Amino acid sequence: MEKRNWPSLVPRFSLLGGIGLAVLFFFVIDLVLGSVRIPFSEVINILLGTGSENKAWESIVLKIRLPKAITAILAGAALSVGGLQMQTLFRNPLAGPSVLGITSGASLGVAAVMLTSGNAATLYAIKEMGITGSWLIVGASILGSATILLLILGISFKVKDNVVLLIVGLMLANITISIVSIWQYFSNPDLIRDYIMWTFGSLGGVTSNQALVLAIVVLIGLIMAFLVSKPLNALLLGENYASSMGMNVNFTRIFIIAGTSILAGAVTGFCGPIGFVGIAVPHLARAILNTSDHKFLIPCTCLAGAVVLLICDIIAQMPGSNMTLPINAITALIGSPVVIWVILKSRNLRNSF
Amino acid sequence: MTTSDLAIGYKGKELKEVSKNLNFSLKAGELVCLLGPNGVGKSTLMRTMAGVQKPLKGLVEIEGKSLNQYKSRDLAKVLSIVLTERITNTNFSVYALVAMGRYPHTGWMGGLTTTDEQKVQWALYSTGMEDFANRKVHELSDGERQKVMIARALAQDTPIILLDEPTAHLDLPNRVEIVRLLRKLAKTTGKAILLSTHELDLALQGADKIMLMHPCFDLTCGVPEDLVLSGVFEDTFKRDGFDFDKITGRFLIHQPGEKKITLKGNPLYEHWTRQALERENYSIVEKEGDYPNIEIFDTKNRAIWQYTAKEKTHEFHSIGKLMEFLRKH
Repeated sequence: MEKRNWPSLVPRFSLLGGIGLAVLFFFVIDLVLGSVRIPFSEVINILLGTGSENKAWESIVLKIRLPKAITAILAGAALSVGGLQMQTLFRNPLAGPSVLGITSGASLGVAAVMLTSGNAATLYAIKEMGITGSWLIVGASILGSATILLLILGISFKVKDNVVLLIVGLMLANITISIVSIWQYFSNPDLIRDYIMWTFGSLGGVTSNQALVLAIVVLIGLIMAFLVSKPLNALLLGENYASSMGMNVNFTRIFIIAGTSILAGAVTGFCGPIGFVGIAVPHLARAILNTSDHKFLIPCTCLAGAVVLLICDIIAQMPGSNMTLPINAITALIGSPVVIWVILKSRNLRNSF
Repeated sequence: MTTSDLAIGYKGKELKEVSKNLNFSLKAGELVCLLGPNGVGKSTLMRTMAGVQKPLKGLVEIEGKSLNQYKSRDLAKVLSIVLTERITNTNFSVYALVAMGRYPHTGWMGGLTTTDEQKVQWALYSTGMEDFANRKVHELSDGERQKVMIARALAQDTPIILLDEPTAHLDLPNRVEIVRLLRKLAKTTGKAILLSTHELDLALQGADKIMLMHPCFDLTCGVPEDLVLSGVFEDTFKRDGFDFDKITGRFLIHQPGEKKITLKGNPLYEHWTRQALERENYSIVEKEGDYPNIEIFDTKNRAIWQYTAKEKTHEFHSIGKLMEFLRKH
């Protein structure tokens, strides 16, 4: 055979490094900007552990801004990778981590706690610890998403067709949403207000302890996603080809669903429902790398998701003002035009599904 | 690969048996065509042989071991498939797609060793797709894409390759090329290749062996020419109301016409004039008689069609002009 230059299977790797630097950059920016003006050098000092003369600044950066920025990175990465897995599994560009009803399961859990609590203990707990900061709400939300997750896993053992599974998931989500709205209809307006605040989503309510738990769970989910990067590639050729190449279709599918559920469930549990990121970022990652290889798409999606949510958080806290916008509104407001731009420019969406 | 007493079909609320009593074997270095009308169960048989679907009865064995004794990964090392479904939905390069064929041979990350890379490159050379390695799959034509999928099956490096209607979306040159390629691969690599098709002429010319499936008969296997001479084809297609011409190996589309005519001329011109006449509902009579006659004079520059009827003679310079005249009279 003559010598020839075979194409490399590795895409432009330097881009990954670039996005990694972007994560770092926006991470620091996110720490520097906020309602209280803290000089850049002081923030760096605080981060490096040399401390600052202003103890209030130290406390703001370490206790409030740092957990929030870390949560933004974790949530962005988790939701995006979850979305990527769902888009590939269902071969549908509109799929996201919420298609299987996991997010709405969490909403149901939270609604159950918030709206039924005529009882004083829960109300007290919520009042004392803040709405999103409370372990009670986190627990309820995780319980809610876990219930739906188990239901979906049970169904996916039975249903072999991915399209059917997708529709079942969407219907399940609709059922939970309508249960929640019936509940709202009969509830005290004050309680409804609290619930609606929760649905806006928030990165700021996560304490350092909770961020640690979130980090561990998200890491597990991300590792699970990375483990199935080879089967995910095979799934792009369709289930028939994938199984003909020796892939265990059922095992892979359940593994993917479980991984996504863990990612989406954990983030929704701690931050409330954050939409859009999971659908949009995988498209960004594909446009950046120009490949379908999940071995590279997953890390890229991870980093891009972190960048996107960091940027959204920076905008949401409206630097220089005392107001904070709901993160859920910002993700869609900022992200949608970006996705429209990327899709119109690259025109390879059709080729990715 | 052998099957014994195989019955295929679907298990639902009711047992739906598509076909039964299937006995055949597939040997190394053979290109076998599975022929049959739509809905006879070609794809079902393919799926059963590939282990996607369980047989209702009987056994499929590869190298003396029953199919259900294989783990999915081990099966993928002895049997690869090429499906009808078009792969349009990937942003893979041709090289990356063919490399996916190494799936059962690589580790959990799918990293390629030097051996893997060599197999992929060999598969690309064997299918003549080496110049396309850098291209994206979605930029290719249907024929090129089919060759890439065959290269992917080659890279999987299995002694058996099953292809479900690999020529379905392709035009004639591409179909011929694919069959030629598969023949070459069967001969040079010693692989057993089975393809299903409903294209009779390709199967007759290209296959070492034909397996003919028909709802009313048991599966018939044999060398194509033997099947033609023994009249199996004729019988099979007659049941469906088609006439099979043993000599040309083609179907007769036109029923014999009512208007009789005689025809004379050099064989080439006669062949095509005959086809045009049959289309116009004429039937060609061999013996001379009181019929209109066409004689073709093949001069150096051009041919002349001379039509004689009721002692009047007309001359034409093309079949088109002749047909125009015949239609008016």
